[in-house]
Amino acid sequence: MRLRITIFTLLCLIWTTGLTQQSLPTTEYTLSNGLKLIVREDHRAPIVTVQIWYKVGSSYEHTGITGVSHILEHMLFKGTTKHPDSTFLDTITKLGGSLNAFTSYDYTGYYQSLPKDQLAIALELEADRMRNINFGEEVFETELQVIIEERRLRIDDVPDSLAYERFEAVALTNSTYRHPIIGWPDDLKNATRQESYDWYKMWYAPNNATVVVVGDVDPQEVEKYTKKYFSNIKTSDIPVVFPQQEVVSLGEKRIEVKRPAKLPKLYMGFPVPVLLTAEDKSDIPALTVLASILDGGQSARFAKNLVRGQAVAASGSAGYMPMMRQDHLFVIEAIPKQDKTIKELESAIWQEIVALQETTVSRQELARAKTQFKASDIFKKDSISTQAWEIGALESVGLPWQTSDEFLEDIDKVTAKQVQAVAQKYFSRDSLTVAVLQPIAMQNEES
Amino acid sequence: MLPWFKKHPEKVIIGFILVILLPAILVAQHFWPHDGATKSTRVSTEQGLFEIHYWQENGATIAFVPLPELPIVDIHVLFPAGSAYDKETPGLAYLTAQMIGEGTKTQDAQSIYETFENVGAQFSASASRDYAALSLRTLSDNKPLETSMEMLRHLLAETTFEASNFARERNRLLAAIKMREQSAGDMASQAFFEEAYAGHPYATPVTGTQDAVEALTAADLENFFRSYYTKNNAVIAISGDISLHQARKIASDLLEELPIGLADTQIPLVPRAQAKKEHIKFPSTQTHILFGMPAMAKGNPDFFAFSVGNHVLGANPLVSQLFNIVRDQHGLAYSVGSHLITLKQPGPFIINLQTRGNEAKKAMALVEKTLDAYMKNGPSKEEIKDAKANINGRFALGLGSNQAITSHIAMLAFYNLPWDYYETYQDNINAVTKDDIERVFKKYLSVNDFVQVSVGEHAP
Repeated sequence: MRLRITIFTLLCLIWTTGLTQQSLPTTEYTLSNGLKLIVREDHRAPIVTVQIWYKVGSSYEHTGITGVSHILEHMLFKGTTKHPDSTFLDTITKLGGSLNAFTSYDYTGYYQSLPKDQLAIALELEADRMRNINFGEEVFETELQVIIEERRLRIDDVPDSLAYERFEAVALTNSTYRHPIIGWPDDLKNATRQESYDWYKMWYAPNNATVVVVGDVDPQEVEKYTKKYFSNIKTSDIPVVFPQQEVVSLGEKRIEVKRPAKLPKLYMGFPVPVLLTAEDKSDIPALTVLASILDGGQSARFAKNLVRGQAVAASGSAGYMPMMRQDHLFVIEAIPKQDKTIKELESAIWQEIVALQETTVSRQELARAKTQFKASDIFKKDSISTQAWEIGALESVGLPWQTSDEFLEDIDKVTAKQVQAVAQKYFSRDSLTVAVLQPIAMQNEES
Repeated sequence: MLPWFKKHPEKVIIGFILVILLPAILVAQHFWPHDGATKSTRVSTEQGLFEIHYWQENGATIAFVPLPELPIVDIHVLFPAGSAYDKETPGLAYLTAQMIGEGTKTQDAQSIYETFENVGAQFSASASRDYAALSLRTLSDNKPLETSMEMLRHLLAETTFEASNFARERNRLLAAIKMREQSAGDMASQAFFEEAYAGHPYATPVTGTQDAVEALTAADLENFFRSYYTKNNAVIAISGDISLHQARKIASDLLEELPIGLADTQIPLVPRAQAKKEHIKFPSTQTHILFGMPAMAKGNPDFFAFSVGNHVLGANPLVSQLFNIVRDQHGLAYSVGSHLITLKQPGPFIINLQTRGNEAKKAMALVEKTLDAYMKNGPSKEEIKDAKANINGRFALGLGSNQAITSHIAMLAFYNLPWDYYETYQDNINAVTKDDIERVFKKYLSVNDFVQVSVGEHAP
């Protein structure tokens, strides 16, 4: 498997002469019922990952039913009419692979990574559960308890997850991104089987899904099986989703989150546009580079100035997700060094923001950030799952999969002046939200 | 499984000479033949293959897999320098690894990380129980490869533990320890190792304890680094788009300036498990439960039977017996399963779950009932067949990326596993019978001696 020379190898040779490396051969196909299929050939190992992505997630939900996309994701493992109960899961597992699913703000996805000869049956099973899931009241109620345990495990008992949940809900006023993906506790408690079924019927349709296949496959064969199993599924009317862009902030917001914990933590967020929503598209690669100037590795400014130089932070990070459906947040998170206060930490971070606004970043910093993006882009080609994930996530928010290559080129064009300009444009005191995780004493005792 | 020396007699000879004739070696080093002959083995699954080249140099074991498809090189350098060697100061090995990259005789952290990141390379160093690992991922073009290789060599040869860097990194580790203490899951894991390995170096947390870390000095780290990061016990795993010749040069360069070490890297035998129940009261809505005992070391030929058996009981995600009963049938946990962690000395078999406090008793009773039935009856023929199918299917997935291959060959070399481990893996799995599984479960697990640790508001 690893001796084969592909076109890709030739592309690598071209890259070494200075060009950007292109993606592996990627084929697109749309069935007459609207199902989109994207196949990327990666012949390094005899494996394949099959993913199906639905354009629905927590940002499609409203209060009262938050968490329903994620609940439904769990219910897709409960069997279909043809493969009832656990036989569905057993069948996939026996094929020999790892499988699971994920729910995010803008999409719900299911993946199976398998030996390549199991491709057909993986597609058959995904086609089956697109329309034919079947579960009773009792199964639903039991699984709901599992999901409530999942919420306890991931959020309720984890001080910084809970603080982030409260932070996001305050930083955003009307955007549906303010709802936790897993759902608010009461919405989970009161969730019903019928709501899940309704949600399923509303969104799970060929014209609201993307099948992504990456691995050691022949695209024609994938197309053949996809047609075979999916083409008799009828198109649905998918509800029109109106934009729910975040209203403009009218002043700084601050909250405290008091939990039994040992370490305080600081969260700072600014509403920012994403590639789909930005009036000026060039702001988006500039914001992405800016995040890297602050936190792209251990030579970036947070490590250099906050952790080492001023030594006010034990850790600090900056996050920005440019490929979402609606405006979201530029988020800074940091933990103060043991003998420093949250106040000292916040003022040091603010100094970093002011520095970005007042002075252009150095040529060396900018070049380093760009080099890191290019290298990471090559490193991520080492994983078929990562490649499939990137394709599926882009397509699911309404961006073509080619966006990742184009975006890399856009990043390469970002200037120091543009970085400064976006820092001035988006990082204002009036749009800032600050959340502080304030530890209260934990009483631990052994018995 | 063959003992190491049968397949690789040169290691024994080199080790012997180093100990007995050390002064002579130091003098003779320039004349020492550096070119341990390269051997190679092909790893083929049903559908494909790659080739592992391996050799010895100055006692170090080096493995290289040519992977020309992507312009990437991965290098992992391992030393027996994990927390098992912490002795009286838990956290020593971890903090030592954490400080690699924070300063050398001639360069500060900023210039070290800039050197890597200017060429897009990613470097990290960390310690676990048995070993410390330095990992470098770089593009294979000349400039990034040479620049980042030179820096990696520099870090191995010239790392220092200067006072202000040390104070800063120790402070950060103390924060990480506090982070651990606010997590019920981490507390449970820490308590489990303390009880299951009482009196053994595996008992203490890898990231250390607050008291011990506060007592550490820069000199302690310096001594630890000089004693354990040495050429004769190094393992280097390289993969990527370079030639064997280049890989040999990289390994030689990395080893060149490392000292020869005399530190004893034996890890004591694990004392017999003693049943114990412990509950730690903790402000969490869920109670975290760990239940198990020390079981099996890396390289044990019974591993394959244990592995298939454990897959049925609790390791096969989403469909194991424990998952089915505790999660699917009763809705008592999101995550529940059984895990075997193999280490140089027997690592633990652990059943773990988290459940709402008031149901902890019920969940634990279900676990015990399932385990008892499994110890008595073992798996069904059908369950064995399905488990093998899943394990064998995962096998190719597990070797599906450069990064995974590099980590796996580093493990082969570090734990002296046979070089045909992957070549024979599926055969070994397929050969497992129901009798084998029942025999090894009885041999390595005695449920009466299990340690049970729980953390939460409510005890099970």
